[in-house]
Amino acid sequence: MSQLDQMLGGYAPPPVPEGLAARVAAAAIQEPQDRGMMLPWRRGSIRGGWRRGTLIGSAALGLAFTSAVAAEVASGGRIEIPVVHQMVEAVPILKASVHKQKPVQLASIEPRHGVPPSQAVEPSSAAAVPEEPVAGTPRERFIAKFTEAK
Amino acid sequence: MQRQDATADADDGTLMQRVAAGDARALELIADRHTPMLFAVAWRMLGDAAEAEDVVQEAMTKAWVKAASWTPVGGGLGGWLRRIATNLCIDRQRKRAFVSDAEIPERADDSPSADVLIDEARRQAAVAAAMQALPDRQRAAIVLTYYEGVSNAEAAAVLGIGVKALESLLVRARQGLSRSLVQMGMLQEGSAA
Repeated sequence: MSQLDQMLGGYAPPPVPEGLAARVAAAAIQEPQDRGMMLPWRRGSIRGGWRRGTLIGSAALGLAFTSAVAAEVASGGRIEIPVVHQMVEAVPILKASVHKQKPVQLASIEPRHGVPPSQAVEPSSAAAVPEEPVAGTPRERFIAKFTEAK
Repeated sequence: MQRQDATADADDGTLMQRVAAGDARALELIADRHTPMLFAVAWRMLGDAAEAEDVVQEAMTKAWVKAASWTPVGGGLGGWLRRIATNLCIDRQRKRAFVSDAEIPERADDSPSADVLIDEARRQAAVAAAMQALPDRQRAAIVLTYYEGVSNAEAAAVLGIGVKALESLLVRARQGLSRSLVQMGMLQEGSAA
């Protein structure tokens, strides 16, 4: 045994205070006991008795239904999922969003060379806005930006 | 009276089942059995009897409150209570360090004479000071393995580390103790190993 071990051997605790065990027990029983937080998840103490199956099944059903509603609403009613479609129809807010048609903006067709003007489609208002001339070289663009910032 | 004797002879597992059912007498018996061990662990970890009593109190309260979820694995009830007490002590040490990091363990004497060195009380005070100067986990490792006789694997489980890490902690703890005791003049350099 080393000298260190000999010294450590002398490091003894004082005697346990009189009546400590009774005091701590008396104080402890004043607290309310946990009645097993895990119990609702167990069928019993048997191995494999978890009730997680119900939870997982409910979660899967919920997720499937939510996905179906999302698909129905996002498709604007084009995809008719049997039960979900009726439910979506029954909910006014969802129904409105299902039947709301977005205004479609057709792309303008530029007249080609050689095509008679009568066949050319009128350019849309967005296409009519003249574009600002963009400087050609990077140096010119940099100078233009610098001047603009100034 | 006979029933009470039978309960006193009951093993920890049976007593904990009774505690889980709200039997206060069973908790008293458990407290009788394990309080000396818990007090010793806490005192060696904290170096203070009053704080050690508080730790024993908290550990027993936990045993009462969590009795329903206790399962007899590992070191049994004693191991479970020891683990609770050790972690409570580490928490207390951390809070203590957070409140004041200026707490420097007292040295027995900077220039001790030969007479003082052989004084048992001073020697114990020096060991106590050296123990308190150790980092929490190193102290816990020494207390569990050296004083409580817990296996390395169990001590590692209590501290939530691997066995190799515990062995490393023990080596560093012994080196730290030796260094402190040499500085205090309680140990000759090179005689620690």
